[in-house]
Amino acid sequence: MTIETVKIQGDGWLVNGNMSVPNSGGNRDYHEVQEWISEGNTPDPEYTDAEIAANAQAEINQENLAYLADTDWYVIRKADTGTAVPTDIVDARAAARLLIVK
Amino acid sequence: MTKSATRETADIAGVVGKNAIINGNFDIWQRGTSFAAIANTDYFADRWRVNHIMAGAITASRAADSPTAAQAGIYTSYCISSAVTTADTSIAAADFFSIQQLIEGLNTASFGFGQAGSRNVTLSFWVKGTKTGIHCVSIRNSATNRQYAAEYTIDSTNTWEYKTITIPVDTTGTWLYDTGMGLAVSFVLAAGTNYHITANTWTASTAFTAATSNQVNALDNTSNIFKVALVQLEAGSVATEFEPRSVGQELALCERYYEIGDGNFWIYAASGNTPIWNMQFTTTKRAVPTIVMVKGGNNDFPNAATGYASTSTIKVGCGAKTGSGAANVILTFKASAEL
Repeated sequence: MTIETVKIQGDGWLVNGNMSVPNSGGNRDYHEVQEWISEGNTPDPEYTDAEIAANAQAEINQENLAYLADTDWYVIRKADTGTAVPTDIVDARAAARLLIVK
Repeated sequence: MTKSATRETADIAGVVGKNAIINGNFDIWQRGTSFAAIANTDYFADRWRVNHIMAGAITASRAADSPTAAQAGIYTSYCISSAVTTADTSIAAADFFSIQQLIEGLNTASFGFGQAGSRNVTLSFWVKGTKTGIHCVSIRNSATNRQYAAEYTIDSTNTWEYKTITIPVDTTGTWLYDTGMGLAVSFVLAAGTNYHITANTWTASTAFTAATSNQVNALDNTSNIFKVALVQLEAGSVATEFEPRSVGQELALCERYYEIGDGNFWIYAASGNTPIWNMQFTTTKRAVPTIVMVKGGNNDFPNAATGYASTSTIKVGCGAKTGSGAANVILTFKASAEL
């Protein structure tokens, strides 16, 4: 195996972008990764700064989309019966929409 | 009832599972059937790989060529063929080329390498080569510090010949009896002086492989072809008839070390979710394997598939889902737990 790139992946490594090598001494590729590291190379982190930011935003989106879905019934009730949506719910839904970035 | 201290043919001729070589009749080729300029330590037929450091190159392939049933007493369809594509007429001291199988210690423990007493193993095979003369086979341990080289002669060019080599079991050295490499069997095609040892003697050599100084250079011409069929390694001092296994048995034995599988999944998850699911191996692996995943299906999972494995299961993830509704993901995995 010719190692070109190594990235941390959980407990093991992602080698050359498509090989998941476990952190297990019984695996022959594990020894090649160890040799590559002992030659002075350093694996890339599991996530880049951009990926960490994207993951964080994805979690924010998921949380706020769930809140909007949970409170949609207030809006439907207003459309059906004219009952006003409580002000705190209106404000919270507006805030949730601002936090969602796609 | 007493048992003879020396195990002979009569004791083992009817034993099922006597052959420590897996895929010795070359029926299983999960990776493909032809490998041009095959790289060092790459596998071709299941369980068989090349080991080389030299300028010469071969195409390793499955060939529909074999000794006849009348010759071998058994019919087999295929052999491995090593066809030289880049010749190397000048073998340097550090050059070598071999075709080998690394055998798991659990499958060689019963031979008793490293244990006191007098025992033998016998390697038998059919060979067909255009390069006549003395060739070597070698056996070594995992630590590469116990080596044995035996000579055999290809008498006639391009003719199937049956060879048997009986090797005394080494009573010293460290030999693994676990999921590590028990021993390596190598068919040597060329070997520089760094690898030369005395024939038929266990040697504390630290070289990757071993041969005698009589080993011919089977890579000296692009017309050279070397073929091997019906390889068997068994206990005792006499070669018995090659033991065929059912294709299902042989595939399962191979899959302990390498398996290709696939799955077609419908994933129901909200956009932004990162679902993870499992795929089961057909055969439990020797060790936690290296996984290569290939993803098809729709684009609701834009990230490449990745897999974390145990010896029995892959945990699959494709990152965050983007679309709403169900997403179809088609996955192919290649799991390697080779030695």
